[in-house]
Parts: sequence; structure tokens; C-alpha cells
Amino acid sequence: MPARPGGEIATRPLYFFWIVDCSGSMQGNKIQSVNVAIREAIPEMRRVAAENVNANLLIRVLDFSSGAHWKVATPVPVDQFTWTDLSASGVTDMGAALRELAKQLRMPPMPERALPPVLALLSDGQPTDDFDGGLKELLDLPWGKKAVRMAIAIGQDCDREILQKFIANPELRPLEANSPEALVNQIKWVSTVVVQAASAPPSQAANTNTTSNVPLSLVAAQPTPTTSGDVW
Amino acid sequence: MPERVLRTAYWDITAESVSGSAHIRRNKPCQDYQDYKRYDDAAVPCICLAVADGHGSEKSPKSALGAEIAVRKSLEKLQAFAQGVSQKPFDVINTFAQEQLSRHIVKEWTDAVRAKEPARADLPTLFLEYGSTLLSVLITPQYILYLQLGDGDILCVAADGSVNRPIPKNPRLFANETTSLSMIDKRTGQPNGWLETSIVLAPIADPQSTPALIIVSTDGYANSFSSEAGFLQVGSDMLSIIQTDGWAKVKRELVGWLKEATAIGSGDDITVGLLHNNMAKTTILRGR
Repeated sequence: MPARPGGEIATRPLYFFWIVDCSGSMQGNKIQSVNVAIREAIPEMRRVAAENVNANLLIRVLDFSSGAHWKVATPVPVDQFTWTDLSASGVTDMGAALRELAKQLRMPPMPERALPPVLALLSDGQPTDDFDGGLKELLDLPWGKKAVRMAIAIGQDCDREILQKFIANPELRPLEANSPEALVNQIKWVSTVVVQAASAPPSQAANTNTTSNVPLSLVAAQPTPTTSGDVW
Repeated sequence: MPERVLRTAYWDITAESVSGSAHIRRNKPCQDYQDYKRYDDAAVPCICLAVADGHGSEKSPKSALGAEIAVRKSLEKLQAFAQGVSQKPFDVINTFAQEQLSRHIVKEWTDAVRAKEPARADLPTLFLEYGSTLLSVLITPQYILYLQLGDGDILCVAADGSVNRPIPKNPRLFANETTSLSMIDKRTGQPNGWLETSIVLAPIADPQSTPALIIVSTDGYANSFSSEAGFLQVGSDMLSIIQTDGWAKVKRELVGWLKEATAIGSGDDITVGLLHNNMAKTTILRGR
């Protein structure tokens, strides 16, 4: 006789995707800053995960330049996740990246009981491929629509309209990162506040003018003062 | 043909709620509610059970009260329904349930919410503040009525331990999004949660062949299991435990099981209601 009824009990998976622009324009200081900022954010992500024991935070990494490539293809528990430096060259195939994401957000492999996944897109430029087609594939999926889609605009030349289309939520704007300090802050915010919100989202009534099923405040969208003098 | 049993006393009933472990860590109250009533000596003997899950989001700060109102109003309307349609043919009862019952429950809920704050004119916002799901079961000698508005689960366990859902899962309800008593038609501004309500009526021809166990739960329970199969296994396991150790054991252990589920599972509030048919001819193997 079972000690308690039912099969295996488990926390709900929370999939976090880093989606990083590695095109040629990211070469040098920008990609180095991304590498440093995400590496520094990992302990913060672990801390937030430890405070939300009912969410199993799993990390994946996708980069895009000439094509899209999984750098971390299998979801890795945040406790075991390490950041491997990315390098930059090539064009900006953001549409290809969204198509790759769409493949992974279908059910299966995505389980229905998962928490809304977090898609964190970092880019400094403009897509060079079929962005709209890739975005449509993503947003046509139930999990694509329900995902928490965040975007960090690196530098002043970044196409914010494109990132806004990706976010597809008028209540949220791309996070501005026009300096290494700002990039660190925005990545830290996405790694903590967004993960916290996605770890224990309350129920949301359908059709109630709520564009996101994970409520977020935009505290981090404020500009970060630059102290290094390095502005992108 | 078996003789109809004109009573409902052969059903055992219980329900429990536990606060979600994540809610306890954040000092948030339990936003689920449950209750049941049995009217074994009424003109039409009946048993009513309801559970509700208040949304708990920032836009629904009074949803714990909204869930309580949902349960209370549902129990009142189900009992009145059972008495009101007595002597009617099954088809007529079914038609009335489909066309009227959910409208009446939604209206009772919205009227009760308005009565809490009569000065408020912003009704969509007001209703959302109290937003809640609702799952109910009504058992009479003639039929079992299942009602669901929003996420959560109703499972029927047959005497052989097989499990099915009388109301199929709504594929739209995932990622913490749910239909709700608070829903409003954007065009008319009128409450329209009744349009999203599913009602299934199942006739009782013979108590021995009706479900041996009915489980009604808020979504925090199913979300605590790593798979759908693991959740459905609750049904056959629960029946097996009742057979082996008795109904009293399940009543005694239920809160502990739910606390364990929220602690190492979803972290959400969990409510479970159980209706056990002690006339069912169970064939499930003891100790399975």
C-alpha cells in the first residue's frame, strides 16, 4: 500500500534561456562585458533559486550570429551551471534564434506543468534574416506566448523596435544598456527580479487586460549612471 | 435492472485546504476555500461539495474572500437546484443545468461581491480583486453533477481503480492562466464567467457502478506531481488506502499528504475534496 497517494512529487521546472547576439558588431568590449556580467550574475541567480525551493531553475544558452547555435543545449540546474565565454563574428540571424527557441518550447519537450519560461534576449543590432517569420513561429506556440520575454538593448544603435516586437507586451520596454555598468545592472535584474517573479507566479484571470502572466515592475528600466566613461 | 437507491447517505465526504509552502514563506494567506453540505433528509437527498482557488495576484488582493463567497454561493445554488428540479426527467434536468445553473452561480457571486463594496462603480476591477475559480460536485439519488470554472481537477475513480476526468482538461488553462468567476464581456461589460463553465451530468443507475471515489482539487495539487500519470495515480492509490485502512485513515492523513505535496512540489495552496461511495463494488487489489 502506498505511504501517500500518487506518483513522484517534484518542484516545477523553470527554464531560463540566455539568447545572446554574437554578431561582429558585438566584438571586443561588448561581448567581453556580456561574458563578465552573466558570470557575475550566476551567484545571484543561485541565491534567488535557493529562496524559491518550489521552482527548479534550469539554464540554457543560445547564441546567434551567422545562424543560431546552442551553447548549452541541455537544461542545466543553476547550481551546476557555469558560463563559458562567447566570442563574436558574423551577421545577426535573430530570426534563426527565435526558430530554435520555438523548437524547444513545443509540448513536448516543454512540460505543461512548467513555470512560464524566461527568455532573455541580448542584442546590439538589427536582424539580418527573417526576424518576423521566426517571431511568428515563437509566438504561435502556447509556451511562446506565455513566456516571460525580456530584452536588453546593448548600445545606442540597437533596433529597439525589433526588441519591442519580441517582448510583445506594451507594459514592458527593452532594458537599456549603453555602458558596461548598465549592462551588469540589467543582467543582474533579469537574473534576480525576473527569476523571482517567474518562480512563484500567482494565478491570472484570462481576458483581463493582463499582457503577461508573470507580473513585473520596471524598476531596473531606469538608466544607470556611467562611471567608467565607456559609452556604447 | 437494479432498484434505485433513494438516498445519498452511502457517500462519505471530506475536504481540506493547506497553505502553500511558498505562500507561508512570503507570509501570504491561503487563498483556497472549501466546504460541503449534506442534506440526507431533504425532500431530494443531496450532497454538495465546492472548492475554490482565489487568484492571489496583485490585481486580486481579496481573492481569498472571493473564493469563500464562491464556495458558499455554489453550495446554496446546488442545493436549491437539486430541490427545484426534482421529479423532472433527466434530460430536462440536464438542459436546465447547462442553460441556467452556471448563470445563477455567477450572478450570485457577482451580486455578493458588489454587496461587499456597494459604492464601487468600477465593476470589472472590483470583480477581478475578488477573482476565483470554482469546482463543485452535487450528488443526488438520480445523478451526479460536476461543475468547473477555471483550473483545477475533478477525477472519478471507478470501482476497479481506473481514473477518468468527467470534464476534459481545458488546453487553454496552463502557465498559471485561468478562467474565472470575475470574467467580464469586454463588449457589454457584463459578467460572462458562466460561458466558460463546464457542467457534466451523469445519471446514477446503480450506486454499485457509480464512481467509487470522486476527487476535486485545486491546481496546486496536480502541479505538485512530476507527471500527469503520477497525479492520476492519486485516484487509484486513494481508493486502495480506503479499502485497506478505511475512510478514517484518509480523513486523518489528508492534511499531511497535502502539506507534503506543497512542500516538495508546487509550493501553491492545495485544496482537496473527497466523496467516497461506500456502496461501490470495489475490485481494486488491496495493497496494490
